[in-house]
Amino acid sequence: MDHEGPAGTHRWVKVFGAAVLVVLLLFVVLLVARGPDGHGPGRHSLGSGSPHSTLSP
Amino acid sequence: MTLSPGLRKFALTAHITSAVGWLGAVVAFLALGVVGLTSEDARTVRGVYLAMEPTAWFVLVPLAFASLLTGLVQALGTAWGLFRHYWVLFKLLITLFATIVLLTYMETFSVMADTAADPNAELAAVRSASPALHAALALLALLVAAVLAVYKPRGMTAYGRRRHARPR
Repeated sequence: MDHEGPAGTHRWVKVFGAAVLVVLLLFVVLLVARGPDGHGPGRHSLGSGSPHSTLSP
Repeated sequence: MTLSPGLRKFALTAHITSAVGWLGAVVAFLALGVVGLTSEDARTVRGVYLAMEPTAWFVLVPLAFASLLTGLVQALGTAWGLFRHYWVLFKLLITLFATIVLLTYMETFSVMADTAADPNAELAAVRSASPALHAALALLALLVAAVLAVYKPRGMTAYGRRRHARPR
């Protein structure tokens, strides 16, 4: 964890920084992809579509 | 600004308590999420998703903010600073990110509770893998933050190096 790179930055910082960037990018992509309705439970739900789509008539 | 030793210990206790409390609450949510997905009892499944929203408002959100605020006090009130060491900076980013995601997710808790409260909603519509998924990811993030806080890996930011080199 303490190995220093040529520019004086520790290796763990570079790895961590890259991971943080990937996660942030993923979050932004998900936010953009979700549209105006938000990151709703339908995205991960077991049923299809929105949670109210399988309501009985 | 440096805190007095007594105040520093009090702030540290508050920070550890809130951060560990948040971690524990996330574990409880992971358990609830798994129960919601696997239980055969309809009342249990509905109860799980109904309980999540108020529990999140009264436990997760306050603990997240307490963890964030006490962490800021801890950083700014000690020689560690907020932007001097990479581990402090990454820990701040993790906590900030987890808090923002939690606040964004509160709407989802509300939608799931509404569905669970609807007697006409089928059980398949009530069940959702989302809370368990989010709780597992939150647990991972908070564990990384805890590891950073304990190991305090070396590495100063450019700002930290400048401050360190500056004669006092």
